[in-house]
Amino acid sequence: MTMTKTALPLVITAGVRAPRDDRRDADCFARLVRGDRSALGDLYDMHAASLFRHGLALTRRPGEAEDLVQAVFLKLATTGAPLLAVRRPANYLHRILHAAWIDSQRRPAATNETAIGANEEFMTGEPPSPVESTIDVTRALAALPAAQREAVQLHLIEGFSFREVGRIVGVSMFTAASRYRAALQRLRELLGKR
Amino acid sequence: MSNEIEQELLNTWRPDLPPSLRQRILRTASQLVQPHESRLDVMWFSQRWRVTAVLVFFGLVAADVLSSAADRLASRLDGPPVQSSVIVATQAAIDAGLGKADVAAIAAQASLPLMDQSDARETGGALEFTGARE
Repeated sequence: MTMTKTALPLVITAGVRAPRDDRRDADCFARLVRGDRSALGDLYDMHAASLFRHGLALTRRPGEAEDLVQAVFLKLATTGAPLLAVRRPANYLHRILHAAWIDSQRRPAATNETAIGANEEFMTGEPPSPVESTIDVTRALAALPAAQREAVQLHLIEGFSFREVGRIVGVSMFTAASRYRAALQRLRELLGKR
Repeated sequence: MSNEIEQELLNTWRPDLPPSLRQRILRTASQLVQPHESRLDVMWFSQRWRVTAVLVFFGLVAADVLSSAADRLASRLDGPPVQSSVIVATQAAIDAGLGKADVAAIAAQASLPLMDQSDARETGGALEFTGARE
């Protein structure tokens, strides 16, 4: 596979799901409300990687994913006291990112950045050879619709329940689950595993 | 088969965070952080304060319900309400300066049960008339 210059290296390590610590996150939110800027750094260290992966699943473009992460933290910095009412900070951050992505979709695209996997044969609909490799799975994932990629990313990689995925994305739990199942079905077809 | 694909996905989709992103974001976002230490905001958005407010509300409602129930029970234990109405009517008649006979008649009328009072009202005019003549 010919990776573009903007493509990110694949780090093949299992166990990305870091245990979420809502209490610590809420404490960071409270510090942020009090004007403690170091809380932003702590929140970044805890959530930026997950948010970046979420953004990348939506956009497939690292630059746009970075912009989405930045939008999340700008929103955090300016929200103020309502942060105190957030009960699930991790879900809240991903919900902001999703909303930022929707906003970015409404604006005209002004990037020439190549999406990861966009120039591959999967996008043309040709059936790939059933070769099992990490690259193939990545390319197959890139061929899925954004909503399905997002469902896979949030549920499988980040470990959110379908109920949480639904709340983040703004759909029902059942819709989130069906998107996930549809994604797996499509991946199975793309990878030639019938 | 799904488990196999899920396992592959778990093993692959791991883009690294660009190292420069942290500095860029924190530099931009930190400038926007300002203290929002309004005590009202803190109270309004605080989960603890909200729960406390709800508990206090329900506590007041419960106290009100218990208080009125206690009043009802106490009045029931004090005796039938007709006794209090007799006392009030008698006192009012005395205060109005009526004679003993009229006071007694009014007290007797007030002590009648409700069904009988409707009949007694018909003669009430006569009592008043009698009182006025005196």
